[in-house]
This record gives sequence, C-alpha cells and structure tokens, in this order.
Amino acid sequence: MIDDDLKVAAVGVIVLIAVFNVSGYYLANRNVEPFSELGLLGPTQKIADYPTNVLTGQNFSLDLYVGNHEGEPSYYQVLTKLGTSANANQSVPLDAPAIATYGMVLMNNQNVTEPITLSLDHNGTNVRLVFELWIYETNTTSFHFYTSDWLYLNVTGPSA
Amino acid sequence: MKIQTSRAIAAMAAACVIALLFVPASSASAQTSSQVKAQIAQAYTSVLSAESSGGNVTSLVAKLNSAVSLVQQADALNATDPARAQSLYSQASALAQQVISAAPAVAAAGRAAVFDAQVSLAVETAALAALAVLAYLYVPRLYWGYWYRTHSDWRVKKA
Repeated sequence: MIDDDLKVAAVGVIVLIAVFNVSGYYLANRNVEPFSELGLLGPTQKIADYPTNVLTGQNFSLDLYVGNHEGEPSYYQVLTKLGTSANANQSVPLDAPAIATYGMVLMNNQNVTEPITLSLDHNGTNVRLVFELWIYETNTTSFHFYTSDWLYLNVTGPSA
Repeated sequence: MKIQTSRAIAAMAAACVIALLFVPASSASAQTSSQVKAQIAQAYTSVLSAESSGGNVTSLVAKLNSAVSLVQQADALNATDPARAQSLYSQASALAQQVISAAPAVAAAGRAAVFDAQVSLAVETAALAALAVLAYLYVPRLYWGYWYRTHSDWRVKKA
C-alpha cells in the first residue's frame, strides 16, 4: 500500500516537471490577446502637466508612448492631426491632414517613449490635438488605423 | 569602304554618348520618400518572416528604426534642403536593403535554433520519461533501504 503511494508520488512529480517543461516551451512569447498601446505623456513623462495654453508658433513638448504586445515585431506610425471637440471619436481616424508623422518598429513586448516638439500656426479655443496610432499590415501592404488619443489646447497669440 | 567606316565610327560614338547619358542616371538615381518607405515596408515584411522562423531580429529592427528615423528627417528637410534630404533617403534605402539581404540568414539561424531547442526538449522529455519508469521501479526499494538505515537502531518495546 505504501509502495503504491510512493510510486504514484514519484511518478507524479516527474510528470508535473515534464508538463511544465513542455508547456513552457510552447507557451513562451505567446500573446493570448494581442494589443498595442498609445499614450500621451506630459513634458515630465507622466500622465500629468499637459500643456493647456500654448502660443501660436511657439514650440511645446510632449512625449508619445507606444507599446507593442502583438506577439511579433510591429511597424507603427503615429499621425498628429488637428480637430475640434465636435468630431471626437477614438475608434475612427480623423478626416484631416497630418501635421506630423512619427514612425517606429517595435519588438514584441517593447515600448518606446518618444519626445516630440510641436508648434501650432493658428489661434483657436479647444483645439483638439489628435495622435492616431496606425499599424502596418503586410497582407494589405498599408497602414491601418488602430486607436487615437488627444489633447485640448487653447492656442493664443498673433496668428502666423 | 570609307563611308562604311565613318558610319561605324559615328554609330559607336552615338552608342558611347547614350551610354554616358544613362550610366550616371542609373547609378545616382534619386530616391523619393515613397520609394524608400516602400523599401522599409518590404524590409519589415522580411523581418517578420525571419522572426516567425525563430530568428533573433533585434539588430534588424534597430536598423529598420534607423531607416525610419532617417526618412522622417529627410521628409522634414525635403522642402528646404533637398540635397541633404536626398542623402538621407539614400542612407535609409541602404539600411532597408541591408535588412532585406540579412533577413534570410537570420531566418536560417532561427530555424536551426528552433530545431536545436526542439531536439533538446525531446531529449529532456525522454529523459524524464525514463526517470519516471526508474522511479516507478526503484523508489519503493530506495525508500525502504533508506528507512532501514535511518531506523536500524530502533528497538521494539513490549507493550
């Protein structure tokens, strides 16, 4: 009776080790739910201290955060556009020309914080500064819209 | 005869002029932003292929990022300093080409590494299976042998 228990315990431990070994090999670097991240950080690289009032034509700084959890290297483009509060929608791209474009290729589980400097040429109240994340898809050989973030700004001063 | 010779010389001269016109044009052909971006996209596709074969594409991705950065700089300079922009496009194009050419070797190395990992996993699993059989056969014996050694000085007391 004790012999059987000993056999079961010893074989059980070894089978458990084998299962962990094999599953570790096959599950390594698998992303169950692939996703990408886009974040907008203030000048101190935190989710705070965002500029709210900027002068026309004056440079201001922000940080773009992009993270890749797609399970493979991803090629991203972040398009910066100008909009208004009327057309705010995170799930569709803004129908406006890009005022700046930032590209990057990230490994799986890699993220990057890229400092950017912008200046706006026209006055406006509640100007929506939109950052759109686009991902390159090899089957269509084009970039596809993924998500967007934005910041409201009051742009004051003499128009350029 | 004289006419034929002069015609041949004229034809050769014309051919030389045409060749001289075309050779510099093809060797220093201007790269446009969209052409270089297409090359980068192609390089990215080859990186994905190498990665899916198990290759370590970290250095290729770093080169690709350098190419992307150069194109961004070139796009910004294109209106004000086209010569500098062209130089940056050429550098970006060269980097993209380097990635495209290096990707098959990285993919091959990846396939070899995956094969090695699969072989070592199979060997480990086989060793564990053998260990399980040995454990099934010998653990009770080892246990009782150990038990006997550690309890050999025990005496049975009368109740």
